[in-house]
Amino acid sequence: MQEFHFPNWVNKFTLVLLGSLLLFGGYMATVLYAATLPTTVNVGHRPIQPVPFSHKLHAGTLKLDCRYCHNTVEQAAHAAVPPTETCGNCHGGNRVATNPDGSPRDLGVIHGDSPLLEPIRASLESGKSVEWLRVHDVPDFVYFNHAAHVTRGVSCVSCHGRIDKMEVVQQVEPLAMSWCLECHRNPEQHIRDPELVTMLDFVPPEDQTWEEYGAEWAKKLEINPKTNCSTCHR
Amino acid sequence: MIQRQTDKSTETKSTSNQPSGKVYWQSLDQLLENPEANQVIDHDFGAAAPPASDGFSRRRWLQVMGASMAFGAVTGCRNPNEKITPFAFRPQGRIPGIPDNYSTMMEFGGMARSLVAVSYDGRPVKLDGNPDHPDTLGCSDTFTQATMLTLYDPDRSRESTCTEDGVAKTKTWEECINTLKPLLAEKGVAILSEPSSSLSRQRLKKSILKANQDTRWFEFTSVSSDNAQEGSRLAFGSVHRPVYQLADAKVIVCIDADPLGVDPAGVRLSGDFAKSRDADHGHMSRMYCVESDFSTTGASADHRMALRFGQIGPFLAALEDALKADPGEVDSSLPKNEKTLAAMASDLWKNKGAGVVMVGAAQPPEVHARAFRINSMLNNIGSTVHIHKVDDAAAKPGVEQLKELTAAMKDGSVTTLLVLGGNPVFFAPSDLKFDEAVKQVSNTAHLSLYRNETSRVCQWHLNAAHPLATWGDARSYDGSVCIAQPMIAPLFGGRSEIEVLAELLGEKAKALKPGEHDNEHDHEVDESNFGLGIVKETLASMVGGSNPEATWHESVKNGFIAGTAGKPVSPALADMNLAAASDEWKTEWTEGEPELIFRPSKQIFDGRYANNGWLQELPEFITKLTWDNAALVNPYTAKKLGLTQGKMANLKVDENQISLPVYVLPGLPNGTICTWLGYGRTAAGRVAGDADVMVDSVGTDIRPLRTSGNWWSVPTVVTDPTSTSYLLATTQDHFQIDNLGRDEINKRVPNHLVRSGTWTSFEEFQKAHPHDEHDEHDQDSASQVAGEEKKEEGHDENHDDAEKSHDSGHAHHWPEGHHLHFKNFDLTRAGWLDEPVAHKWGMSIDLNKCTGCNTCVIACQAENNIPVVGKEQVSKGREMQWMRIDRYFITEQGDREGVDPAIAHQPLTCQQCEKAPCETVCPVAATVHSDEGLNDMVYNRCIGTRYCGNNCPFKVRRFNYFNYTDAQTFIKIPGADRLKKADLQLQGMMMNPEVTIRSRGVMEKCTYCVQRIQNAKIKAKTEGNREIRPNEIKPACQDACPTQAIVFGDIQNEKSDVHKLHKNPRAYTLLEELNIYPRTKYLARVVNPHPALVEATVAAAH
Repeated sequence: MQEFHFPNWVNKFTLVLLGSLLLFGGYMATVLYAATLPTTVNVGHRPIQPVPFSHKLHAGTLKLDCRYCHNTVEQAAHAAVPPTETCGNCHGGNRVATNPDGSPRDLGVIHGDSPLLEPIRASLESGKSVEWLRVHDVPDFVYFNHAAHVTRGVSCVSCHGRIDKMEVVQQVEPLAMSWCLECHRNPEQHIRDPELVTMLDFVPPEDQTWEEYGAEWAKKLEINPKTNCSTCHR
Repeated sequence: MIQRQTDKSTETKSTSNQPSGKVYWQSLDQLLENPEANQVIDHDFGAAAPPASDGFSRRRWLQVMGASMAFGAVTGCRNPNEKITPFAFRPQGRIPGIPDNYSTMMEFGGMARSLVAVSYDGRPVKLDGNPDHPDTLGCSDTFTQATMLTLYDPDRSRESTCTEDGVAKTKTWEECINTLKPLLAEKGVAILSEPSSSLSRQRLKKSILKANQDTRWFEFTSVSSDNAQEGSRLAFGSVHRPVYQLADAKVIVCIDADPLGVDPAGVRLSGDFAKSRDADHGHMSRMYCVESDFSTTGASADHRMALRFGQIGPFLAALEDALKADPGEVDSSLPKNEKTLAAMASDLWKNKGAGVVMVGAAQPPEVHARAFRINSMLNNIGSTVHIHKVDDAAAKPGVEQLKELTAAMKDGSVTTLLVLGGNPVFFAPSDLKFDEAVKQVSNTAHLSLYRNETSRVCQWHLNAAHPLATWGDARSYDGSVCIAQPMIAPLFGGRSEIEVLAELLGEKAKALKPGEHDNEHDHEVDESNFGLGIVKETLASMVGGSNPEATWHESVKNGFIAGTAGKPVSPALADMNLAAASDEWKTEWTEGEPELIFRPSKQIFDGRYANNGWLQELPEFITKLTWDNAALVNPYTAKKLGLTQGKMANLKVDENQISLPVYVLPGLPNGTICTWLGYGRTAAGRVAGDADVMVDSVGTDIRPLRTSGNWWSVPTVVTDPTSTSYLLATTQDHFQIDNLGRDEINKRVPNHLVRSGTWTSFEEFQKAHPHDEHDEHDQDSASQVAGEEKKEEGHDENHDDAEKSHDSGHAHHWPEGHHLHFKNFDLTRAGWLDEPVAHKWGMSIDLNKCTGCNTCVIACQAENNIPVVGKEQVSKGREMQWMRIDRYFITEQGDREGVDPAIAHQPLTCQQCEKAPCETVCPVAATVHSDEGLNDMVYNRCIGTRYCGNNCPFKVRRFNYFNYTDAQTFIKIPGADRLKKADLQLQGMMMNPEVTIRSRGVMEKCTYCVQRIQNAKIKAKTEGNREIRPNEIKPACQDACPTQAIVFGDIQNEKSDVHKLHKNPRAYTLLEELNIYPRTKYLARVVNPHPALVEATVAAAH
């Protein structure tokens, strides 16, 4: 019996087949790479919180300072999410506090009965936490310290973006190691007067570029960021 | 002379050219050049992990799964949503993530230890000594450091129970109290507690005994100071206790005492001992140790004499006899032991008023009484030995009290037994049959942290709160009153001893309203924690002054009430009828039945810490044994009795027999078998053994042989060797520093790992080199001490003169040191060590201060979330402790039995080499150098090739063969599957949040506590960008070290201690010939032998 042979014209497909396999492999590699980039996976993460707190309203329109709520940011590694009590200062429902002169102060003046604020009132009532969802989450082996940055002239906006324009907070920067290192290597872009770190719409004076302004403050504050592994990994 | 072969397989540490013909070795296997000893050197981390048993190998699995994991990752790479749960109302002053320090107190051996707890977000994670209290000065011991693990132990009792018809039923506190309270008013009540110095308990005890005159109170524990108490009763007619002032002592004689080891006042005594041996500042005490085991103290002593337990008393009598008149100079023709006695007598005589004779707790009262008499005779009392009055001493020793109680229980005169704490069923002498007697009592209750052996025979089990979760008070070694404040609410809702007593007395309501409260402070008494009221009432008279409330808050803040320390008294010596001196102590044992002695375990004490994995896995200092007790016996005795290392031996006394594995330990007296208490628990928990959940006991229960007559020693025991093998997990051969190559260098330049010299030669050296002249080049005078290895090495010896000016402090004191940095081979860029950087972190470890107490090892474990691996893994050389204490025996050349060995020891951890061999071999840059000189370890990058560990000359890297942290910190493998998720969360509470938890396949090692360095830097920057203060940063090991042997800091900051210590003439680095420039320097040990004994003793080894 005669053996079966592929006809010669098949040969030209071998190249095509190999080529397409290569292309497919490359395609898959690209997809895998692109799909796992922190910019793809993390940027834009915007979980829905139990209370639709609007940073746009509070920080943007009402111009509350970031540190009114995140008041540990200058002392601790965490920019702690405020205790419910802080919310309760304005949205306390039927809670009443005492003014220094002894007169009563209604803590529920603003939206005291809004159904959206029910979790806040429930928390104040029961003493149990409101379970917020973390937006900016770095891996557990990364030890980021807020105090070390904000007291040294790095603004909130450098990592968190224009929170004051966000109805729902979302992650705008990848928070990946290479991204951290960019700034640790060239901090000038992100250094400013530490007094102004919470001014999210800050721009340097007109006669100075960001680089010049940042370099001036970096010099003044003796900013010399480390890129040692143990700076962030312990 | 040991013949050395050049073959690598027989390469050992016993080098042939040690000075004075001495050999250093780590195990008998090594001394005898058995191949087992080199297993660790040849296979760095033991054998590889076994493949999966189902035939589908891990490698194959990886191949198959590689692709699917890659695709699976796309959907799974975002971390799961994490919740943030802030306080509804944040307590004032609390900043999430910033640790708070609170002073508190815990009792150990009936003595308060003032402590400071570090609390993160309301959960304590670390305990250290209270720096303000004179007894701890910020230091601690292994038990203190390991307390955290007990606090969060999921095996602790969770609820109070009452056993009805063999079934334990959960009861509320109300039910317990309501049932027990009426019973206490009836006749036939007995209360059994552990000795305690708590003032509140004393007060409540009085009230209880007053309320019901028929009630009897007994105090008993396993390891107590009863013998010393009885001794003082003999000596003074009433109970006093000695408070030693070792810092001022010139001669310290330890008679079977272990002040540097297991001692309630060990922290204080170790610190004072180190202070008395400050060679750099010209004072140096001399320590003699006469003992029947091999203790930590024995290893640090200048002269150690091993005598059988029964010979110790006669020895002290002979010493007293020698001190009747001026003993004069030492007759050098005497036999060795007699010469040592003569030297001791001569030293004590010459240093009247500056000597200390101390006796160990195990020795009978007569020996203690004699020591009081000797100290009094030598005018030491009042100067180096303070005598404090003990007001509330029991009338009888604990064992006698327990006998009385057992008899009363058996004859039915006890109808209600309340046991407060402790574990008398496990501790009691076996001949009393205490557990059977308890079963005869109609109402029994036991208050305890664990549902232990005693709880299981009692009808009621009351769930105790951990001492760190309650208010309390007690007296410390110096007599001052320490206050315990709770660090956390009782985890499982328990109550403390004093709370239970108060409630049974009906004083709870009173305690709830202890008077006015200062609203500014949060010390509010409430239902769950009314101990505060009790303590406040007790201490009311002590916190007087114009503003008692302010004094109280100040005292709680400080941890103790200022000015309450005991006052030394000088009671008159009573007439004592003690045995006359005899020559009994001189007879050497040659054959016959040996004696057996019991010692508290250095790891788990009397068994109360048995369920603590950190302590179980801590290599005991001398034997390096983990997870076991053994019959320790010296090589000569072993040979005579036919005992073999690692084989079981039956020990028999009358009808009672136990079977113990044999561990051959050089240095014990001939004819003595030593074993440790506390092992063989059957109701400890899932770590140490729990019969109820089928977890085997750890170690062997020696109780059958420990009877009321043979409480500390058995004069004769019948031994019967068996051929049954037993796995003893000892780490003495693990992580050896390979001597290959070093021996060759040693032939040219002595370059020992552990260096030491005599005090005489060091004094000479100091005279020749006053401090300010250290940087002068003075080869001639230096060469005089070359033989004594008093030397300073410098990094820059290999550079030319121009560079020397940068580092002029490192001068040439020791000509031979120059050759250590091989000029031709060192490719180091000139001057690179002197390049300016912000900080240069470095460490110095003073071998003259280190006692080998292991505190640093546990402190490191607690700080750095280091897991426990279990006995099996330890036996494979996979223990994870980042620090280890290398212990070398030193014996004469040619001695193959290890007769009368001296001990040299050295704590070892990552040396942070400037040119680290580990860094160059890492294929993924997971271990890299920081510009501040740290050898950073990046866990998240590590892929586990283990090349770094292989290339580390010090063997200080540890590899996670399994995911140890996941389940095994509390639970060794057999019980691990029983660990519930909630228990794992409990374990998580204990973890230090500042340190990454490593997983399987990751290499780890010491980083000089980089988390503390980083936090100090951040703190300094946020506090106005200030400089870091010279000695601001302390790693966990330094923080805990009771003798302050470890000092860390910036070596470039001239004000820092470490800078000065690196310039100390005793400083040297390990393995200099490798040109790796370690940042850790060791300070050579200085020993102070009696001149007449130099030839025959420890000192000659150095």
